[in-house]
Amino acid sequence: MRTRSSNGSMPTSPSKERLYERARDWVSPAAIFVVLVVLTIYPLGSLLLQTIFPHLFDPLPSLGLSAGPLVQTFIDSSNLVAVLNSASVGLSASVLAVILGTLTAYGVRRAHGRWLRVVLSTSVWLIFFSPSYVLAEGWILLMQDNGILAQLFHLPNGWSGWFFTRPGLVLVMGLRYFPFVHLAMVPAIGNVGEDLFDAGRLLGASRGRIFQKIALPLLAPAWLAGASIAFAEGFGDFGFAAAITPQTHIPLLSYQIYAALSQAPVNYSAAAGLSLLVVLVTAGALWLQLWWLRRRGAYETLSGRSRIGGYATSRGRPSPATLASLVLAAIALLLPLGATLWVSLFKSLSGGLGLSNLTLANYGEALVAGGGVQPLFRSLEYALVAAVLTALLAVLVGYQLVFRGSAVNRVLNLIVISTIAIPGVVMAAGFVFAWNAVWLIPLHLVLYGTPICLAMAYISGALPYAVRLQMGAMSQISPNLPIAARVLGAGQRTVLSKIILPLVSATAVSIFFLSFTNVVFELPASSLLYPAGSPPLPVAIQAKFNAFEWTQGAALTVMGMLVILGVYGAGSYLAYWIEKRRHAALMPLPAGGSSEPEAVVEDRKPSVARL
Amino acid sequence: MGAELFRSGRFVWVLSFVVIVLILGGCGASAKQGSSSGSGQLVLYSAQGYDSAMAKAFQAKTGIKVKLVDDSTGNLVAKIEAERSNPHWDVAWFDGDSTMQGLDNQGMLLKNVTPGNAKNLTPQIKSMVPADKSYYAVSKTAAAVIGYNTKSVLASQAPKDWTDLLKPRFKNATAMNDPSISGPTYPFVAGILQTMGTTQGKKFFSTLKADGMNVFPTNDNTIKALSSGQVKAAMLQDTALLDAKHSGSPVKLVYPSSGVFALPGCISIDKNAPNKAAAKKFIDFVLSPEGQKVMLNPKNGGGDSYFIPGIKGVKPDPGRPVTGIKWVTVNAKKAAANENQIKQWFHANITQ
Amino acid sequence: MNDDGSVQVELKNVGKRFADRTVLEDISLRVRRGQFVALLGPSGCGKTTLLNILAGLIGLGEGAVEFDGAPWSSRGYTLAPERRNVGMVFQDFALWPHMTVFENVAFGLKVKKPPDKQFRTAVSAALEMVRMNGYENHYPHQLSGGQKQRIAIARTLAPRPSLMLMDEPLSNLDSKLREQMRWDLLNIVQEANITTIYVTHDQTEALSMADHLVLLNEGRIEQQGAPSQVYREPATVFAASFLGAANVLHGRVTGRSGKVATVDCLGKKIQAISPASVGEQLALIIRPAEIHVGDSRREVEELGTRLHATVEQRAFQGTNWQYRVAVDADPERVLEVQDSSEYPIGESLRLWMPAGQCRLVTARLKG
Repeated sequence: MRTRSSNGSMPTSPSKERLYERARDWVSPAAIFVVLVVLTIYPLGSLLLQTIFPHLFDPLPSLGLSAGPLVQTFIDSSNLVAVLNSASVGLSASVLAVILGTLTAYGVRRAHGRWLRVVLSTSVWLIFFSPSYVLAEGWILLMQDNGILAQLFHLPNGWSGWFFTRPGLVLVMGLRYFPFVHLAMVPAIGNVGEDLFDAGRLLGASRGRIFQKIALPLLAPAWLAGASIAFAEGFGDFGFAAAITPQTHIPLLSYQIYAALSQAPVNYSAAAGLSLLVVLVTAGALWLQLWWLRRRGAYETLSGRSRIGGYATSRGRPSPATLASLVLAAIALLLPLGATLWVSLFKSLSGGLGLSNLTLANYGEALVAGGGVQPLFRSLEYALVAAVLTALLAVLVGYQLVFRGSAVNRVLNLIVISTIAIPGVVMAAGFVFAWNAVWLIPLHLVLYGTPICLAMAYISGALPYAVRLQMGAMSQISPNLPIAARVLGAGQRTVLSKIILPLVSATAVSIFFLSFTNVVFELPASSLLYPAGSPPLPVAIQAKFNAFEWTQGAALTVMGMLVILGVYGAGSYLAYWIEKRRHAALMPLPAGGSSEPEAVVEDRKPSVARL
Repeated sequence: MGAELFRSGRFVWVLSFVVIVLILGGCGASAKQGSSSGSGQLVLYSAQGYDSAMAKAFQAKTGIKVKLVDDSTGNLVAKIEAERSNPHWDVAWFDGDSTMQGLDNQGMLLKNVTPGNAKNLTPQIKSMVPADKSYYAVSKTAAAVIGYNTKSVLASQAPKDWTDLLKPRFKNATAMNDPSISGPTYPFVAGILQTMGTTQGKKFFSTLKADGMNVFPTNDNTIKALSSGQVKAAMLQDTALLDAKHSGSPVKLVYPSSGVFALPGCISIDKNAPNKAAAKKFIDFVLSPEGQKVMLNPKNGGGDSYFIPGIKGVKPDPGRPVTGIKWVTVNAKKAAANENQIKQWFHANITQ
Repeated sequence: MNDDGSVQVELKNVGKRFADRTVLEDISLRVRRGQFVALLGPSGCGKTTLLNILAGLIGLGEGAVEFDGAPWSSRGYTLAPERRNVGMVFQDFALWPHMTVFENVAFGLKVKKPPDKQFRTAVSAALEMVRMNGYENHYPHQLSGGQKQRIAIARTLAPRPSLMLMDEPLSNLDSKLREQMRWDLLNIVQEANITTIYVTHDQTEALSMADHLVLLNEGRIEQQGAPSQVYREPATVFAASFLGAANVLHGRVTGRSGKVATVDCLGKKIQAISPASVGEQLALIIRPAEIHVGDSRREVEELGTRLHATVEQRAFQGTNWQYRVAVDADPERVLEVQDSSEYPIGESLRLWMPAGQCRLVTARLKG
């Protein structure tokens, strides 16, 4: 037997290679870990540590250990009630979001003709982009006694009493969060293909059975991707609950946190203890979900070879799903957004709905006299930087978590995602503690008070959504696609840039817009972290609201949304233009490869199912 | 198609380049700002509507650059507390002496501040300045008055005092803010408990709640509910109601006959402020007739400008009622001491 | 070209565990240059794990993998896949949907260090080999299943790998296409003269294509050898039944005369050529086609056992009829036999089981 090859091109000794190979295996997980530490773990840890070290950030920091705040958090029965309430609200909202999001995803798939599809998809995206307070505000203007609907239809006081209770809250949340499910579902339905459902139907299976045996396991990953965000959002919600249910107050966990923050002196250890509870519950829910997925082996089922469930192309009457989706989109979007637009045009808030009460003056006043131009541009800059970095980071982190699985990954995943439910103000406070800490002074690393710190907080806030969405997209890519490239000699970097990135680029673009919008309207981090003297747009808007200049605040909000729409339109056009040019250079392709400008809207990620 | 966008690898590079340029731009800007620190700058944390105009006026007068952080009182205090080991602010300015007292109790404020213009203070305002002179009261508003919607309540049926809101005609039609969330509401609740007595005061709120009172998080929501007619009457800060009234909402104010609770605007200096001289200059400016006139212009401060001036010889805005008001001073130290207990009671019995 | 018969890939006692489950145990195998080796086994037998270890996609727990004598994998060391120069063909083809056929095939050449400057000619050559010239500008979704697999093979061949790994490459194709592709694939691989390791659960593929067959079961090598040898001389019940229909009878060895052992089963004493000793409890294996129907001449010419049976079911298979017959001496037992003549159901048959075709193996029932 030959012991050694004479061929010098092969590595001759494992010991020389070993270190390098091992190091290389650790480089990218380590880099991602560092990024997550900087953006999430360190700030969150700085906050949560205060549950046991309440004096860690005192003017004279001490490591005095105290279990008091933690014990207090867990033995206070009102906290238990709050957890249960928050969980039930979050769960109901996510169930509703799943139902609505599935409906609209089918609606888009079934829509006849491009226009209908563009209208539907764009509406869902606009809801996705709309700041929550705009939607909440819109609903109140619409539904309250003497509100717009009451005035239009002469409804008696108290007609909408049901709306301002728990069911109304869940309804508003469901209408707010369903785009998360929709966006995950559209590609999933495409990948699963309707022939699988047809097969079940031909075998005489009832609809219920088809749902249980075919739809549920196949679509579960997409549902859960969307539902988990909806749950975490609903679980950590404060704004909606405070706005919608002032009379029948539902004690929620987020309320307890706000109450701790408005004490004098501010009780950060209590807020941290409650936040820990938030993290635990959210992480628990996510863990359950992952466990369920693993048990069902749901991910594997998506690597099959079902025919692509394409968009409907034949002419004819729109399907019921499409019609219902249109109605839904109109309700979820036009009513609340219309209300904000309307208010931005009011001369006086109580001047009635007549034309005589309308003016454009608010815009001029808000932008020029009110100094809204600079904050607007500032926020655009933050948004651009944060959104690009978030989209890229999401691809990197998603790749690490999906394709390079390890036990550490699961922990990272839970950490990143359970931060969704932590109220923004708490996370922002974590950033203050973390990046204003005294031990950073000698290192010249006190980032708090600089634009970098705010940008980091923006990215940190958008990252959980981004990673979740990106993981949903990546879990539908056959693991063989990157493996094939690896085996052919591509390094991890090449695999990422040449194989994975193009396949998930539509999702990356979605994430870019999501983060962009998030940043333009993100309030808690903006207000706690902005560099003195340089307020971003959300702070400027909030200042208008605080000064009861609602019409100007609404005008600034509308301006922000217009800018987002503009960026969105420009991005879509850019993508359209690039592809058109590319196709002109290639031979003409038969149907299937045609270019559609809404591709940025849709997650049209080509995937295994198309093979 | 997004795929195509990324396929032209150049796109990613162009984007990265743009991002880097923007980041460098941001750093450059902040470095420039940083370099101008020292004697020539002041960081002002303020919740007052007129703070931006005051910052400009002060800068124009003294040449000291003012970097403003404007936010709600709650957020400002949360920020100040979070920064407590390494403060970034020089001057803090917001309504509510019990809240400012809370910061002083933690030893965060510079004591024995003696601005020259302190001599201008009116007697009632002067009585609100603590003995250790760690903060100054500079203005006065009512923590809460009754506002009613003129479209749904006839002037003859308007409430005269707090207890009038218990009448059947206001059933399911009243509102107030949540003291756990809204800054000026706690002094009002504490004031009611102080003047009516704890038992009667609590009974007052419980009865209102049983009659269907709405508890909104902040002024913002309550004012909207009142202006739009969702509720007929609301109890909240007079400046907010005056602003609504003057901007055309069908709202009228009632200063209850049993008295309203004085809510002073308070200003203080960080114990470790690098530039205490500039901070003192700013307080002097706030206490000067020149400064108060800037604050009193509703064009500068919106609703917040409808306050009672803190110094002698300056008249409030004509839109603000001055006479016929019975002022009651809430004991700031006592209110600060009972704060958490009262808020918890309110949350458990009224908010829920 | 390289077919000098020397060992190219050697696996030494390879073992692998995932968490608490042993996936591979003590796998030793030598693959000669230019050989076509099939790894055959039921799903879950560890064959894909073994392929991934060969590709360097996962590390191994014990043992070692060497290529041309140089280490590829050992405990704690895994040479990265991109440094092994292997090609891999997948069950789901794994063509990159965002790239044209040309870009797919050229990928491996472009990422090479240094990049292959003649990649255009190499792509053409590879496409020529799989007869797919003219499809350069198509996207994968515009191709049929068979075409996709050809492109996937061309993509693997283009950088001229020193080892080709195939993971059930035909199982996503329909049966007719699969048969055609079997011939084509063999042709392509022979033409390219590349050592190939082919994973499959389909015994027809394994038997018809491989030079060397490795039968895996529950993470262990059940048997290996030339396909015809493994087929004809299965060492275990599992080997016999997995490679095609086989009658498996259980019984005790009760007598021996010379090379011939006598086994008690089917209510008969059945003769089998075997070194088994008296008293052993064994399984007797005979394939349906090896049982002769109605042929009395053989009874004179060779050793064997005669049985009488009744036709219970029959199926026409083109060349042959397949029968399920009940043995008269033990009516509970049903045997499967094949014959070219047609017999009606209920017909009494005279069967001959040649002792040379009756193999005795240990009665382990696994599989």
